[in-house]
Amino acid sequence: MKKHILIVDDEADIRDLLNEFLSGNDYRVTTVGSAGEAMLAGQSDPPDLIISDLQLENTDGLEMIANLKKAIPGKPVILLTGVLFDPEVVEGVLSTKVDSYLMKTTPLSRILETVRNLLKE
Amino acid sequence: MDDLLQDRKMNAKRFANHFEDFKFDYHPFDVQSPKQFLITRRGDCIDYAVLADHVLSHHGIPTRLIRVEMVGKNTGHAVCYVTEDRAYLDYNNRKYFFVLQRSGPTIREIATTVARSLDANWTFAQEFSFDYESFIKRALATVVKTDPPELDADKVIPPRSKTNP
Amino acid sequence: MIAVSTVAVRNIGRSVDSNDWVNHTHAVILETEALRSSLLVANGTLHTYVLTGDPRDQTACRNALADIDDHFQILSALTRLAPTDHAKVGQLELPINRYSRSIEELLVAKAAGQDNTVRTLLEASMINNAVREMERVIKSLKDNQLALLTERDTASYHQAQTTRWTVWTGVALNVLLLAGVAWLIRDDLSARRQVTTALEEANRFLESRVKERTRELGSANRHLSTENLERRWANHSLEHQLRYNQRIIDSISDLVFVTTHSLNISRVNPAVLHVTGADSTSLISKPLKEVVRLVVAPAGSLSPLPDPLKYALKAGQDLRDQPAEIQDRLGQRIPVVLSLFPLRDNNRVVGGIITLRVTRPASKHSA
Repeated sequence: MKKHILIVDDEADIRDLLNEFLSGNDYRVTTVGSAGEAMLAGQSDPPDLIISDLQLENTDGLEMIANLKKAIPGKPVILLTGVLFDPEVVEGVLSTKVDSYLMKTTPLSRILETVRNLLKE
Repeated sequence: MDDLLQDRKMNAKRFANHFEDFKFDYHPFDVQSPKQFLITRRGDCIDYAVLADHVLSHHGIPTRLIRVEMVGKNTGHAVCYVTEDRAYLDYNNRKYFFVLQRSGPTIREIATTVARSLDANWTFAQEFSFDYESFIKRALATVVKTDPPELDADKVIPPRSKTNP
Repeated sequence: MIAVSTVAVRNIGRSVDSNDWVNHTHAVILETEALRSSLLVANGTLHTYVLTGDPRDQTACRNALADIDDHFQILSALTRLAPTDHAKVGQLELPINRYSRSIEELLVAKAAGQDNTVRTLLEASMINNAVREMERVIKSLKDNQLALLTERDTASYHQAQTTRWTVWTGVALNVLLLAGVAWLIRDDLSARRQVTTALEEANRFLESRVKERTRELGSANRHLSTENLERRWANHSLEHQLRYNQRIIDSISDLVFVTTHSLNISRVNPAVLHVTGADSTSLISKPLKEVVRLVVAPAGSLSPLPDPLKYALKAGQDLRDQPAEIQDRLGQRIPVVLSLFPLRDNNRVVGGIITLRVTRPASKHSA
């Protein structure tokens, strides 16, 4: 059975590209554009892994991730963002809240590698 | 007999149609009187051939009497050849639709066709004449199978046509 | 095969001919016997008529005479091309004629009631001599025919044998030919099988090559698709990053000028437009010095430099917090603090970034 990935990003292009790429690599993908949709989708069809943007419209991505982890605990989260952070910030703050942090400029192959590692494939 | 002689529409096929129900009764080359033949409705090939010759020539239709001898004793057969039809009347065919058997006019051709119809070999054949007054057969030409065809007697004698006796 | 067929057909023809000769000989024998029978019948019916005087017996006798003549004519025709037999048959003519005449005289005499004449004719040797003569000739003819029959039957038998041998030879030759053809076909079949096998092998090889190639193409295709996706992702990320950076720059309140190496303005941020009241088209490509001017010489300089900004750019040095003025579109001078940073691309200075911080707020202009 295919592993299920939930993608949360307010940009449609990002959602479409990630969907195309991950589906082509044999994953079942659900894409949502807001924190509210993410909560609904996560509870109705719990994913095996979540990829989320940091900056969502009207919401703090980290806050949404914290809520999702409460609702569906034990699921790995990748934070995918265009915002540059210092490595100390990543190490100190983000690593407690998410399982992996990747820039949007990271190549898709590297994103796939991270997904596979987190899903222990 | 009168019916046959007075029928204005008489031809070979019409003649043959009268004999559809006749039976076969063998008299080796004895010819019955026509009255006896027609009353008893029994006879053989020569009775039929001679009567056909008599009736058709009465109506002005040229005919010839041909006798064919096959191999063995008393295995002869007689037919009446109707010249204008290029065919002969054969008593053996009286029950069939096609009463006239087509054949070339020479004695050799007629003999070959007759022998083939009887699944036999012929040895000699003769054209003859017969009249009911004398009851005597007169040979006109004899053709032998083993002779070269160019020496056949009927190559010299033209086909005979009789008028009313 | 043609030669054997021709010989076989010819032999069959000869068999038929020899068979015809056997039948012909039988026919001659039958006619001689028939002639003899007719003679006996004629004699019999004659004596019967002489005794009975019955016209029917007379007719029967005359019919028998006619039969004798008929059989004689037939025998004559049958032996026409056999001179010896024909001569023998010819010997019958005279006695038959004498016999027929005598019988006819008798019949006429009897019919006329001339019994004496009848008796005289019966006692005369004419009829008996004629009969004896005819019987002698008939016997001789028959014996000759029987001898001929044996000869012709032997000839027919030999011909049948020859025909049989010809046909069997033909069959044997045909079997040999068929065997030869079968051998050739077998060779041909074997060759065809080899060709078929070779074709099948070539086909399998081609198929495997096609499959391999298809896999390669599939793999290349997937690779290209992945590359395409990566490119699109990278492009999107870059655009996204550029937009972010642009927004960050646009939100800075300090005035930012980007210039060429020659200090011509190539780009300004919205803060510049807001403070100067000018629009970007009027500023782009203009020399910076027409808009911004240093007030004093840079600290640490021994003498005033004709163009400190150009000098710093050329030297690739930063210039920080220098008092300067900027002129708005109305010509009003606004005091600012100027900093210059060389714009580097692969360690080459390709232009400059000049930032201005307004020290005293100027009157607002609509941008």
